[in-house]
Amino acid sequence: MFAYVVRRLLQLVPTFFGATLLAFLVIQLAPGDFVTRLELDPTQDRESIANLRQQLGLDQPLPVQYAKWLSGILQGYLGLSLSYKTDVWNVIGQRILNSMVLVVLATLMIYLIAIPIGVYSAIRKYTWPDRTFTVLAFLGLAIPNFFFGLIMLFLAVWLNDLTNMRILPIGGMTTEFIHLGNLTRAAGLLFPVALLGTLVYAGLFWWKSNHGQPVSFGVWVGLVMFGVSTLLMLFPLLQGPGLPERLPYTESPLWARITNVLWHAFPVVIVVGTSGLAGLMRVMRGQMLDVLSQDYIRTARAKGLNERVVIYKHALRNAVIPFIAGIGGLLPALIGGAGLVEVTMAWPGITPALLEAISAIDIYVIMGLITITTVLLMIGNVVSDLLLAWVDPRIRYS
Amino acid sequence: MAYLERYTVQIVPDLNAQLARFLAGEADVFSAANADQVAQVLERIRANRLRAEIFPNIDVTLATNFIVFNWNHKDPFKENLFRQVKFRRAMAHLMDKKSMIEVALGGLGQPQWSPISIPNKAFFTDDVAKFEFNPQRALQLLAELGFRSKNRDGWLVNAEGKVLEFNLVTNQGNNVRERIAQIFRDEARKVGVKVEYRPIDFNELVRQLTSPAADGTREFDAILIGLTGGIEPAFARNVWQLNGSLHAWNLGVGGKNPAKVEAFEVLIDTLMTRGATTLDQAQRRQIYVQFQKVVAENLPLIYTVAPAYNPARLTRLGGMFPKEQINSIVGQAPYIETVFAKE
Repeated sequence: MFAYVVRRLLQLVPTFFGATLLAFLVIQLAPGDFVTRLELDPTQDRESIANLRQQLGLDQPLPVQYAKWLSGILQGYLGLSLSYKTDVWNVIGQRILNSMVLVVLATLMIYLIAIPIGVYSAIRKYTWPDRTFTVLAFLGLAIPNFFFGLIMLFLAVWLNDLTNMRILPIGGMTTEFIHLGNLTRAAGLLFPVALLGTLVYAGLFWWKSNHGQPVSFGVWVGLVMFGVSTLLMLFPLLQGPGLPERLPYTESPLWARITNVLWHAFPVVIVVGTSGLAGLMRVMRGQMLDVLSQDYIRTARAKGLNERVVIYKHALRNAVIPFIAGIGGLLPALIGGAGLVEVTMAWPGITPALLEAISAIDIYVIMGLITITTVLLMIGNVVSDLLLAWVDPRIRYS
Repeated sequence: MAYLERYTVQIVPDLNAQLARFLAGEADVFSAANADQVAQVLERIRANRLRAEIFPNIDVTLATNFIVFNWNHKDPFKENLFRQVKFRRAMAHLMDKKSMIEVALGGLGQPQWSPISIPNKAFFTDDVAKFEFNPQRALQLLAELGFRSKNRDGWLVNAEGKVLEFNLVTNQGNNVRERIAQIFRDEARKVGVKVEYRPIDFNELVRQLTSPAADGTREFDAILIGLTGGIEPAFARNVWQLNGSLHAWNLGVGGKNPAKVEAFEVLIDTLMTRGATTLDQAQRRQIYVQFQKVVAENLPLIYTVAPAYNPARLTRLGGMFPKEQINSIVGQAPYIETVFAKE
């Protein structure tokens, strides 16, 4: 096993060089460079253009540029953003974090909803709920995310106009001003609901564990969701009354900023999550159906096991194996951003930054992103393979 | 009524997001980028959902858009053609600037005839030669250049049967320029000038424009492009001086003057140098007025239309310029110190 891991890690080295070299060449194939657009600025004369090229090292031959970039990478330096004149990490770091908000929430949503629905659909194959989910899944897969994003914006505008309130955000990640007064009042209204939910689920949890019943997935989810919301609402309830009605975002307390970002993330996460949800739901259903037709399931049923135990203990555990293997693939997706939705819904994530960098030919920003994604993809693949061996005793590496 | 304790500058790169902020009352001042945005602001104001005022087309921006022909063409026929002032005037006569404003700018903008941006009142003059939209006059001028008959396909040809044709390119993604180019192409094709229009990548366009081959020739026929204007004409010396890096119509190699130069180009070069080395404002104006006349007369760059400046502000703001004082250079208020909020 150890030898296998070492061999896999060693194989990453040539892959890394090959991938980055290819990326570097492809970027350079596009006409012009970062300075090209300045050539159409009437105030820039030939000397200043040439000086700039020289300063940025764009006048050097490609192998030299690549070698210089590579020596920086090996020391952990991603290079200089030509547009922002600063370390690439300063440019993309915050953007990656912004995207992560979406990706983490959407991934959570996908897994929490898709797996139960997939299982449900498989158990009740060809019933009308299964057919409804199937139709919805195909719709979700068919609508491109960026377009769904536009529809969501339209809905948000329509809803806000209808109610004359700001129920849904219209793009962006933060508001200029946070209405702390509104937040506090909303928390006051919702707090009893959240508290009640928490108590109900805590009661269920307690009852089930005391009566020897397995605590189901739904109870866990409900307890965590209501519990976290209750705790979060304590902040505005305790601090809110002492604060002004309205504060600029940057001067607001942390809980208000988090709420603000989550509020903005809500419609975006729904948009991003839907297509992934649709796909995963179908895969889960297929997996489950596969497993349910296996001999050992028949054996389990023949032994007279409770159908719940058959499904959750014997079938589900085997059906989720491919998902566990897919966890490694989430690593690059985490920083890869949510795609064009970020552009249509004005989320300051990594996709707009990448597009901006590509159109400005800000090579090192593009290279930085490609490098990080490549490394994470490679590590993710190794992790996936190892996880697979861990959960599936049929697979062994030597 | 209160003077401002503080103000926030929001940097919103996306035009639609800017509009959304203003419509939601989250920004106090705003500048509508196009007719569609103006319409949306007006609609909100009329529906009493936004207490604001907007001043559509109150001024134009400093940006200029023009068509430039390649005087360093490898094809001697085209080079000779593009160097004829009659040809360039004919092309100017084929520019339906009214339609360009209506269609490309949504009715908000002004025709431009000379190189100095219209808001630049200190130097701008309207008293220049204007070759207005007139396809008949264009046909006459082209006939004087030898293009008297049409071939079977309806294109103008000269005595040797050479078709009057050229490619026009502009940069992809700029909707205004793409529409202006299409309007020009359509009008030109109506009278038998075979214009092929194609949008291309910006960097490729810049390469074609600014990078001549070793023998001094360039590939393109005609380019529709714009330059950012400034308030000091001499800042654009690179466009107008003979050895300038943006002497776009007739570009020299390696920072030298172009090989073949017309008299008016020398005159422009001289005027630019004089303008840049004169301090007396009255003299400076005189020099630049003459400069505009020479350019408008000879059309090395054929100017199209200037997009409008459409500022808007919430009515709660006071201490701003009244309508007649608003201009695209300073904006809606000279200094933030004068601005106050009424509520």
